[in-house]
Amino acid sequence: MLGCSRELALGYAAKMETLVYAIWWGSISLEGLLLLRAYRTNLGRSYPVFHLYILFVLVQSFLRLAVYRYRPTGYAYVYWITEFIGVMIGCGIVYEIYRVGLAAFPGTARMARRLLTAVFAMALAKAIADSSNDPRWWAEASVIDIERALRTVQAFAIVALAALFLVYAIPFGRNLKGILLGYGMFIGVSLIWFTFLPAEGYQYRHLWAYLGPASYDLALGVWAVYLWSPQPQQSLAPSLRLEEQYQHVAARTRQRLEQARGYLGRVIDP
Amino acid sequence: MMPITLSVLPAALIAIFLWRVWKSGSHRDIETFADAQMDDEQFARCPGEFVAALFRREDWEFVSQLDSEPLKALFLAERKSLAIAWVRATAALTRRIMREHVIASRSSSDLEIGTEVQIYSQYVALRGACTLLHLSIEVAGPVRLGNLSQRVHRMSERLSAAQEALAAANPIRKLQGT
Repeated sequence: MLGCSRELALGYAAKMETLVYAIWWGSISLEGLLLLRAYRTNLGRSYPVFHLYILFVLVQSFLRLAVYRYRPTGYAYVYWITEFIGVMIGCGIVYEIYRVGLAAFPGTARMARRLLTAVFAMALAKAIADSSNDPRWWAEASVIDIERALRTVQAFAIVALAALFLVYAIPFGRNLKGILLGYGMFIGVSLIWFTFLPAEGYQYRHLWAYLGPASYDLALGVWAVYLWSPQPQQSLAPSLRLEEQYQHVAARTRQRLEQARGYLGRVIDP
Repeated sequence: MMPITLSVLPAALIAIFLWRVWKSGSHRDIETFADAQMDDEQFARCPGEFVAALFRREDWEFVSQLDSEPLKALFLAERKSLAIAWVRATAALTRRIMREHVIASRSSSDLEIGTEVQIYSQYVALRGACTLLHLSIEVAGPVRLGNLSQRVHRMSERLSAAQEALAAANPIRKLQGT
């Protein structure tokens, strides 16, 4: 009986190991494919930070594997250092989405800059408040806490940008939309994981071994589909009144909204 | 340690916004909607007397006197559907105004955040009023709603008259700012 359950456990472990390898090789292949397509279609020039990120993750995978094999004691250091570099380049992706998406919309870009500055200022204020309330925070905060905080800031920045894009009906090109969807999805899943990872949550760490890389593979899949061929950002319809002064447009809108309010007012004041 | 909500909230927001971004594939400018929404706009701008009549009690009192239940039911159903159609048309008109605004203003280099926030709050208030009116019509019906709104209007008139009287009675206090 005991031998039977041991065999089952070994079989399960072997299957899980195969799954981890499949996810790992899947991401390596997709990253290679993305870089190859970027080279052939010149998309690397339009989205340099994004492709730098993909290249970095590809190199990092082999580096981590090499360290794990030949210097296992230094694996944790290499893992977290590369993880933080990845987060930093990830911030660059958010900036690239803003730069490319709003290139033709200077006023909206200015608004996005202020919005992003506000997000980062709030994050900084929160960090300062936390560390002043508890000076040991920096010393006690685990690398997971710091990465979670950075991912949260990135998430708020993505939300702010996406909201602005939707409110102002900024036309997305297929490529930019793919980058936003894939990266946003990856950040969202990472946040959920970092939030529910208990301090000594080794039992869940096992689950993350599949969920985290699998979500990244999914993001890579989205990028591969949306970035297969270059598509320029959608241009504005020629009939738009570009020459119109903003103050005039705003005044007319307010007047028309007042008029609409007047229609509703007829119910109350017939 | 960051609170859990601070991390879960942006994750949930990301999911919602990415869904919207994903669905926003078939972006259409205002011109595409122009013909379809013209009828709505004309309906929303229909004469004030017509709109007022939709919510007025006099017609209902006349129909009630005829003492026919099917006629009463038909009258109420007709009034309700007309009133809802008018509220929907007004909501569509405000959406159209806002859409025209963002398309005209998004390319401006001198976009002002303060003005934009004011316009958006005006828009949100209008949409809120439309939703509230729609719900009230669904629940109470246009006739009872008209009656209620007239009472509220009279009350607010009395209240503002009382406030003016009070302000007139205390001119010195007002000047001193106490």
